[in-house]
Amino acid sequence: MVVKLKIVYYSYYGCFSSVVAAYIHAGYLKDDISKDTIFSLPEMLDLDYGELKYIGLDENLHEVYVIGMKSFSDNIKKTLEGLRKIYNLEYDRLIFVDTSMYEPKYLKFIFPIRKIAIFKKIVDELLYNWLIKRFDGIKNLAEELKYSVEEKT
Amino acid sequence: MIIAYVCYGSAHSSIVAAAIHVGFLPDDRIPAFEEILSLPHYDMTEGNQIGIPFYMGVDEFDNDVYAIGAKSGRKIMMKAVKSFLRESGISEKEIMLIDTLPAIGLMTKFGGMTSRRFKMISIGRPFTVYGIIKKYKNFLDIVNNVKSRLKELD
Repeated sequence: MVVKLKIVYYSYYGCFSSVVAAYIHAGYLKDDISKDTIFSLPEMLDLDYGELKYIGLDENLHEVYVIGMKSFSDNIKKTLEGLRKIYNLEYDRLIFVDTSMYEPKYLKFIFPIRKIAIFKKIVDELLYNWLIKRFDGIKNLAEELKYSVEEKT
Repeated sequence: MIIAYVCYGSAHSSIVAAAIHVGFLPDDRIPAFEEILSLPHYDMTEGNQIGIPFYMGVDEFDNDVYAIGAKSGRKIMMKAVKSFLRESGISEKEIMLIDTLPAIGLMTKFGGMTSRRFKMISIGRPFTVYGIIKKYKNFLDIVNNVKSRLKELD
């Protein structure tokens, strides 16, 4: 029986570094990381805590997701894993990947500021620069996970 | 269907509501101190167990009943569960999540914090039980409401 994985990239907000990591994993984001590309990702800066968002399939047909769980990731992961067992989803395994270390500490101030039209460009520039500096780290995280999953399945 | 009662730490309110639901606790009188204390998982959950669904039994409609802790993130957890089930091809109608934290009062909150967080069990635990007894009607209302909804679905 083929094991189908749900690979879930998560962070406090689930709408920045985890989105980039998930798109890299699913193969939609490679080295073209122009500002337009980044900010046109539908889940980018779309704050919706608790909503598991489907990004796509990777080369091995594993499903890739993102989610923001605030600081409740430890207990929510246990709940979802518990429900997976309760519903007998034995060939539908869950892998959670924390991308919080690639998230700026000031992100929570960004959301209200970004709503003000005159600040939007500056904020996007700040976030984009932050991301560019950490892109290799996020890419390594997603690609290393992809290869370790490939080896195990 | 899965019925899951949700509270902060799956140690008090969700356990009591689930116990009433499956018949471990009476629905026609206030239970004795010992009846509450002897419930499985009651005031026992450790911090690293929060989030694990605890099986409490099966009800008269053949639903499995669970207690789950979600700290202060109950709404986020419920949303995560529903979206996870949807993405797994399971209908949202296959689960009912009920927040039981509004049922308890300050006494149980104080007792629970003293017992679970500060590990002063001999002081905190009796407070949790007396608090539950004092607010037992709230629990009956929650469970009766759930059962009415289940009857409608049946």
